[in-house]
Amino acid sequence: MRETVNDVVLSGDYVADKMKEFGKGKPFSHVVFDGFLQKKVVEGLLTGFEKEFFEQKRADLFQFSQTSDLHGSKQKALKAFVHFLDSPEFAEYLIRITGVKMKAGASDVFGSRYSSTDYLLCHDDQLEGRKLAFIFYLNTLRETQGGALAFRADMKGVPGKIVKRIHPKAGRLVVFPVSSQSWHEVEEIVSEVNRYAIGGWLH
Amino acid sequence: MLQETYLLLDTKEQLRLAWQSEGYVQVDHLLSVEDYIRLAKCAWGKGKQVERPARYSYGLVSSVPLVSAFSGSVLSGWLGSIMGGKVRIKDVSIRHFGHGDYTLLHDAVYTAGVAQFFFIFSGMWDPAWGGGLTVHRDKASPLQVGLKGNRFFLVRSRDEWKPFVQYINHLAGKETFVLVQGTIS
Repeated sequence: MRETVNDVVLSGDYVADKMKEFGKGKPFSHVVFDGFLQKKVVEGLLTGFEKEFFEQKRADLFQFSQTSDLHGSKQKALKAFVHFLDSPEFAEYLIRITGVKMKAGASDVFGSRYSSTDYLLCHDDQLEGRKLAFIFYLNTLRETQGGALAFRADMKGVPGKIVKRIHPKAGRLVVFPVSSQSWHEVEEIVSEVNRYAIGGWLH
Repeated sequence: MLQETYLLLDTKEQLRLAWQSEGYVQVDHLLSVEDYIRLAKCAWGKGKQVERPARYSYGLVSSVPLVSAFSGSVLSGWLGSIMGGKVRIKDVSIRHFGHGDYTLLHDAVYTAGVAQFFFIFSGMWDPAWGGGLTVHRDKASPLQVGLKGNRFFLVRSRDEWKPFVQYINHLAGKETFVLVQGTIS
């Protein structure tokens, strides 16, 4: 884990702060780790992306491009990153902060590229077995460029107003539990800057 | 109200055969130019923005002349000659779409009645702006209905055929279109 993340995120005080942040998350529990990934790791992942095939996905709910599950990637940096995600150390780290029980090594992991006009409309991510959703951002977008992860309030089982926006920032990790209240979306990219991320679910 | 060419027996017979074999029919320039212009003035009337994020976002327009025109005997009689038998038009809605608006697939939308129709009021609309009317089909490629003013689209209501309006992106700027939707029983 020390080869992938910045040392500061492993300190006891930092973890204690993140436990509190997770518990107080609105509109549902979540935690944002800034500077989680080392710079060289982010750069390696972006280089690995250059050789990955991104399939354009388009339906009523979304428009963006996505890799196959990165467990099948042949890129060295991406393979190492998936190995880190599936490690018992990372699972224990997240269990300690979120209290959500999950199995190390049980994950779905995809690379995503959102280009101008791409979006993902409101949904809750619920699918059997998904415990925690995660997103690692690999580049930074200004607020005016779009691509924010937006959280909506739950109004008796249906999504309400957007109450929080988290903007893409290189090295940032966002984690939240999947539930019937975890209404979220990715806002449209309104610039020519692509948004690159690795996201998925831990089971 | 309808273009004379669509009232000819030959034309109606062609449309009837297309309806029987395909389960959908698209007709351009359905209304006479005068009626299209007259009704378009009502279509962009004052609307109320409605949003249920997991289902839709659009403006709901209230217009008695439009509802009357699209639920009246002229259109229902013409539809009856295509669909074979007497039909009744109900639940006519007028929806105004601009940047950020969309509809998602939902049971209530596509299982209503025996068929649904859509009529488009629009100026020039670039497909790159999104917003196209799409009919998702479980066992076939989707039907794409481009946004063109005075275009009419009739589609059979089937569980596995699900119409939706694609998200309208920022390239649309302040451009908008209006979709009249009706259920046929």
